[in-house]
Amino acid sequence: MTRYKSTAPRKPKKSKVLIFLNIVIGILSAAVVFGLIGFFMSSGDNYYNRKFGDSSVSRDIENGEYADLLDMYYRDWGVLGMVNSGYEESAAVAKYAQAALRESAYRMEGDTERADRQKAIMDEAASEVGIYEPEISRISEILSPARTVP
Amino acid sequence: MKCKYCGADVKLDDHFCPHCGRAVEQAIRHQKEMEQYEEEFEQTRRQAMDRISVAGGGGTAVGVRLAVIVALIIVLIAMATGLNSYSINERREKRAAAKNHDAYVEQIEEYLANRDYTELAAFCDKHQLDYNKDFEDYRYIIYGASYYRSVYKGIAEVAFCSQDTRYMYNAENLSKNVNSFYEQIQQDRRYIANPERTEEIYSQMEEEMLLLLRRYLGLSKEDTDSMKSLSKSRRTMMIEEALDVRLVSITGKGLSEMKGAELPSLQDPQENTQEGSLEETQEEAK
Repeated sequence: MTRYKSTAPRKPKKSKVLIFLNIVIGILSAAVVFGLIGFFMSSGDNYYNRKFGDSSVSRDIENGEYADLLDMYYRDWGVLGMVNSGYEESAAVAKYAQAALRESAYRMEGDTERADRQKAIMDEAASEVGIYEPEISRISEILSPARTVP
Repeated sequence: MKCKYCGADVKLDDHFCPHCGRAVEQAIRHQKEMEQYEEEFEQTRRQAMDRISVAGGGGTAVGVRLAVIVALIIVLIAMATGLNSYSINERREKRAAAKNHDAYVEQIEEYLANRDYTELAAFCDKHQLDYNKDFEDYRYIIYGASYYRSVYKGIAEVAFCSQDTRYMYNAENLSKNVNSFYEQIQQDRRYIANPERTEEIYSQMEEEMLLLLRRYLGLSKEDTDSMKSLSKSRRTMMIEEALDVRLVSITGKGLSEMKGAELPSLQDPQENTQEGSLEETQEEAK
């Protein structure tokens, strides 16, 4: 009797389509997992929950970058009183700078009522600046009328 | 068949001759071949069945995987649009605004009374009030405050600039932001919920802005009184020339040095009543 050796493959090959679909599922699953991780990591830190005050604030005050300080004061809701712990004095410097900017303009125009209101805010902020007291005179010097274009 | 030893009849299944008792080699060989054949048959049958299940039942496997992929895509879209910290907090702010409506209105009115437009812009931005239907009366005022804040940031950069100041992005865009502010306050009033009140607030915002421009850019009262009626390009030229003078006096560098281009001259301007680009006006001046 003639022997016939089986020509069928010993192991069935998996469909290439299934392999591709498995890869796609793997990638999408990884994306979902990373997305969830990212969500939980960032849930406490976002546009609405941020507060004024980080290392760049201290740097700005040191370098006299008051415009940048004010920019962050608005951007990070410092102007609404949302200040990180430890940065209350920095916020007071920004508050002083903002009030001084307006006070100088009102004073020049002769609007004493509004100027006095800003002066009151400046005095309040000046009492809160703590270690940044030298910034008060720096800001006042920068905004002095002598710097106005002749 | 016949036994090769005694010639008796033997069957294919008889391993030994029933008459002489000797081994029937043909039957033994046949038996082994049959066993081998059955084994190979069974193996081939199993392999064939496996291939069928992969190919045919693969239809089910593909369908299941496609369904899983679609579900994962839906989850990712949901995460991108809804289940993210930004959207969740946005919805939270809207709920808070609905709950504290009266308190928010009171705060807004206080800001307006004190002309604290930068604070107003920050407050409304934080609480997402500009697109909140409950604050429709303030929508365009909030837009105006937002543009005012952009101008204010540029003026602050000019006011506090020094020789060491390197970046003055907001100041460089001051003329553009002033033009945007005027575009906002001069727009069609038909869609504004409270046009008279909005008009009044816009005037006050403009007043504040012009006051700051006079103080920190050195513009004259005549310059600022005419600003509203100027074309965009004339307004741009006026502000940028004043800014240039101011910056040179403090930092030694002018605006042109920052922007890397020549400023147009106001010596021989052509009155341009149509809104045009600064480049077009420069061409006209040449």
